[in-house]
Amino acid sequence: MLLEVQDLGKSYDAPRRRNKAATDATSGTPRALSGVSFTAGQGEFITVIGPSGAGKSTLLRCLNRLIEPTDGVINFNGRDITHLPNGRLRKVRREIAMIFQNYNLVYRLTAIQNVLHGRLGYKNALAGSLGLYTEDEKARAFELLDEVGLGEFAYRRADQLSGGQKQRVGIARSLMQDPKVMLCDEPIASLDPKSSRMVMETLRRLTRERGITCIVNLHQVDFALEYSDRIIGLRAGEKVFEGTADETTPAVIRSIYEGDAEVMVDVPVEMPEAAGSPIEAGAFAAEPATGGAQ
Amino acid sequence: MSAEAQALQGAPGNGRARTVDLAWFRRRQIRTILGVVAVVVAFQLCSMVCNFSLTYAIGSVPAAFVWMFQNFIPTAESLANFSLVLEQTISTALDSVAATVIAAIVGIVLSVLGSSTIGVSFAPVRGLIRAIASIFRNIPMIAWALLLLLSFKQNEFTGFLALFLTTFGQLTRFFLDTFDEIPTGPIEALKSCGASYWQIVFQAGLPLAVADLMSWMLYMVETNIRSATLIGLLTGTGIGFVFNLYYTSFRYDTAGLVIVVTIVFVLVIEAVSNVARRSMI
Ligand SMILES: Nc1ncnc2c1ncn2[C@@H]1O[C@H](COP(=O)(O)OP(=O)(O)O)[C@@H](O)[C@H]1O
Ligand SMILES: [Mg+2]
Repeated sequence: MLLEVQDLGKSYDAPRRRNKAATDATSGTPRALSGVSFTAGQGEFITVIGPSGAGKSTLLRCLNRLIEPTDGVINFNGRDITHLPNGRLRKVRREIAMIFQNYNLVYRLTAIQNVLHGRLGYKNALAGSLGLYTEDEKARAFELLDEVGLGEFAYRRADQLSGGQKQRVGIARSLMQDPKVMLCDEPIASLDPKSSRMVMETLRRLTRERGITCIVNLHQVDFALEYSDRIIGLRAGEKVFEGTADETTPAVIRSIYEGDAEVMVDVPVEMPEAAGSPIEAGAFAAEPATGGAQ
Repeated sequence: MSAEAQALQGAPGNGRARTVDLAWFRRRQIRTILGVVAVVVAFQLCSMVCNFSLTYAIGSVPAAFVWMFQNFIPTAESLANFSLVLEQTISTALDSVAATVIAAIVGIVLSVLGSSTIGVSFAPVRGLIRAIASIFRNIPMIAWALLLLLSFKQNEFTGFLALFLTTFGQLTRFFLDTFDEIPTGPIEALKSCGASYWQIVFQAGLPLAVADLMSWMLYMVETNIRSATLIGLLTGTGIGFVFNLYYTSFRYDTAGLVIVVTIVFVLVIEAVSNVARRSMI
């Protein structure tokens, strides 16, 4: 499998601890993610749905470690990347592109400069800082802009593009990375229906033609049903559903968004462990200053 | 309680009863009036203590201006010194531009490292940079000039250093605010591309901040040309020295010429920097 996520957990108010029991015991607020496991194969189109605050953005950002997970393991391309040091993490991030709800372009730079940013991970500090790209890289950037239909906007500043155009620049930037996986955090949440469809079609095409795996956070369930190979339902930081679009019945959707437990009979809900093991409890006792007494 | 007031306050049992308090407007008016009265009283008290008479002050201002105009109007005779005045004005202006630019360069480096958006992750370093900026900013330029006079004596470098140190403090402070306010989205995006720290600084941090940085720098160039004139009085250099020379020897016409040339210079610099600002938006 290209990507394997095991028992991923994140608690915002506890910095990285060695064990889960400690964070569970010390945190007053609920964990943003707990015990999330799934796998993603090459060329798969997976959407993550769930109510706002369910932990969708947190999950995606843990996968490329923009957010450090509190616990769990992430395997990418046969390699554990959960604890990779910075230098090697950069090399992994080149292959895990990301696109965002707010496009996150450097809005004072032109479209083509933004697309070329996708190469930064491949360049040394000096060339990258000064924006010295090779002729090949430049040619490829123009090609990709053409491909997303923005060839004539190459020298337009990013803040002068429409929302849909910005998102397509964002996609071109991620393709510049030659990624194996694309993480898309609500890529169409700020777009009109027509641009939304265009972006979704583009992503779908990437999975088919280039074998790129797309993991897409969505809150438009209809789009999720239409485009996904697989749908993952998150609620309150836990995975409460996983299945194909056909298996995602209205009752399942309602249960993901409203937490109606009765219709969940055939959906496996991963139960959190009831209590930490004695070893974990001992580790916690050895750290009395972590603010447990509240 | 009248029926009307009860109705306005809504249901009493409701925890967040919607209260429409009409007396609020009256209280506000009274507060405004009290504020004005307090200012007037304070002014009167202070005037009495310092023997300051408003009527005398207002009465004597026109006379003072008339005297100034009569004495400080550059005469044909003073134009003989024009080339000296111009030369010294240019030299002072260049001095302050140099001090400001160097201060800006140091300020950009420090404020990048100290900012909350693209700064170093080690918090004490960020705190230290903020502290340094505050200290240098809050020591007045004249104090620096006087201090530096002790060790560097009267020369160009003393003035330059005094300008540099305060400008550096001030600009670092402004630049920190600028970098703190750049959007974090593009930074996150570059991080996700695998960009390294300095790549992010140069490819996202600086482009997003550069217009504001330049605007602050130009503003400091303008103020520094004025300040440099004053500092020159102390350090015996530049246009400040020329002014002092003619002023203390009662050659008011040439002193007036210095003022006129300085004002024209500041206006020109302001116009140029406004054009530069507009072209950078
Ligand atoms: N930087 C943060 N610091 C603290 N809590 C956060 C932070 N980001 C998200 N959270 C919390 O984590 C939970 C999941 O958030 P998020 O992943 O953004 O959900 P979603 O993307 O599904 O709307 C929410 O309760 C949110 O308040
Ligand atoms: Mg989100």
